[in-house]
Amino acid sequence: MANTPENPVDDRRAVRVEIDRVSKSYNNQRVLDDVSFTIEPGEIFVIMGPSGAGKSTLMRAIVNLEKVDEGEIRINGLDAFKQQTHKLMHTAIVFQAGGLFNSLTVEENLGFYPREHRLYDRKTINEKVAYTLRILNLEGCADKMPSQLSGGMRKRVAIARSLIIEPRLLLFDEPTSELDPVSAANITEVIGTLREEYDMTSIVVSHDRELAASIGERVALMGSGKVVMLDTPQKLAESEDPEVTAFLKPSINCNNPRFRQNLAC
Amino acid sequence: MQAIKNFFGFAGECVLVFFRSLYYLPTLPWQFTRLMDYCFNIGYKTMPMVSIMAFFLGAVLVMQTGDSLEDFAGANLYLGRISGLGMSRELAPLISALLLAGRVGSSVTAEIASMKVYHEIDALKTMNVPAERILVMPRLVAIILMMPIVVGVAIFVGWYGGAMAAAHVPFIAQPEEVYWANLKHVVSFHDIIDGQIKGMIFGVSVILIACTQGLNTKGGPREIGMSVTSAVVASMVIILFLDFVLTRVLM
Repeated sequence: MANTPENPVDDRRAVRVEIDRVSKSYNNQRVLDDVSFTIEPGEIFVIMGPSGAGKSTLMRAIVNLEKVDEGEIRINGLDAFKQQTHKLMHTAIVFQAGGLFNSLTVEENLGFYPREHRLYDRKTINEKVAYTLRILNLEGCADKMPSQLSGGMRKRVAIARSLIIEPRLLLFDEPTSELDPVSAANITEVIGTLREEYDMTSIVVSHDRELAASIGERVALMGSGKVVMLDTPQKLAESEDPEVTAFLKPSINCNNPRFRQNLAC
Repeated sequence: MQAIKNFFGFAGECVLVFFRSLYYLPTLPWQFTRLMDYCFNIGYKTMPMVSIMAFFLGAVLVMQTGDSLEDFAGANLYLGRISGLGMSRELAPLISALLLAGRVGSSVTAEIASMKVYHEIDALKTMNVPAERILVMPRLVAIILMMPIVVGVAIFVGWYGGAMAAAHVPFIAQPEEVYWANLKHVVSFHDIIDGQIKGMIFGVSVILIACTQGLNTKGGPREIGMSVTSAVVASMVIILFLDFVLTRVLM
């Protein structure tokens, strides 16, 4: 509980996230196995790992979309599940597919949270929406429906919608998946620069090694529900651990006759 | 055994969704636009189909009973009574609810199920906007407001269809005045209220089943389709079961 703010709820600054011996199983299969680490306030923390490593489950547990079987997730010292921290502290998540409301325009998507919670008057909401659209270069698509946007634009709109609530904790689920390299680089840049504008902690779940290397301050590499290694991206890249290199530097088996024909192995 | 367990599990969830929705009733004034939108979709858009069905059902009811009563001298005078009571107490609420299950129930389930599958419901949860507050409660209020109008229209159009058949089908050829006089003599305000109570309970059941089924959907597009089918089938079975119970209670 060190460095926990005096008033963990009303304090408007970035939050500390503590994952404490968390385990979770589905149908007797352990997807999270005694996972522990702490994410410092304001940090951009990347969780990497192969498919099925438990990254997305952990992220969903942080925002209370999943209940863990054992252990505790604490946000600013408060139990995320028991004290429903996502309701107390501004927490937002950018889903892999965006999670945009398909029946609403981009502008309505962005204004949805403040309108539903009656946070501001109509004029202030419109100003905040316009400002957020501007910082993410989305001014031209305010009246478009999500179905009219490209994959990259949808991700940016999803990020913009999360920023409207001025989050203290923002989570990204595979933000660069299904995007072309240019759009992926663009989204990576957006995530990296958001901290200049907003005081928040960012957790990014991704397969993307370039994203982790360019914006991650620390990276947790997960495998089979456990944390294999937690360090800076540089240390991770230099690691000789076979489990780490298997993920970061995968190699094609050249003895496979199907590949041998096409690759100059 | 598993099917019975599933049935009671689902019924319990429907009850939970209902009470959770009631909890958000005070937020209704802020959702006026949404409520009007749901009223338009549930009520106004259902009206033409309900009217067509009610008209022909009323006409067929009069033709069938007119043909059967022909063997009994003077029994045709009771056509107004049969059509009047049959439509108001039974057929109008029943056909309105069955049509609602097919037209509105299916679209509500499909909408909420796809919102669930494509993480829109998860997004709502993280925004601290419960699905019951914006997707279920306003729909329940809309159905309670619109069902009396839909059932009322079905009753009157059904009666009118009966009057048309009585007057213009050659083997009945009963003057409209006789039909209406007999109907007015027998049908009381209480009969119409019985029909309205039935219609409202059927409507609430349809919306609850549709929303609960949508919120329980997991998987992908195939599961959305399966959810829609399950919701419509469950709604129709429940409507018929409730019809039996309510008829006994209201008699």
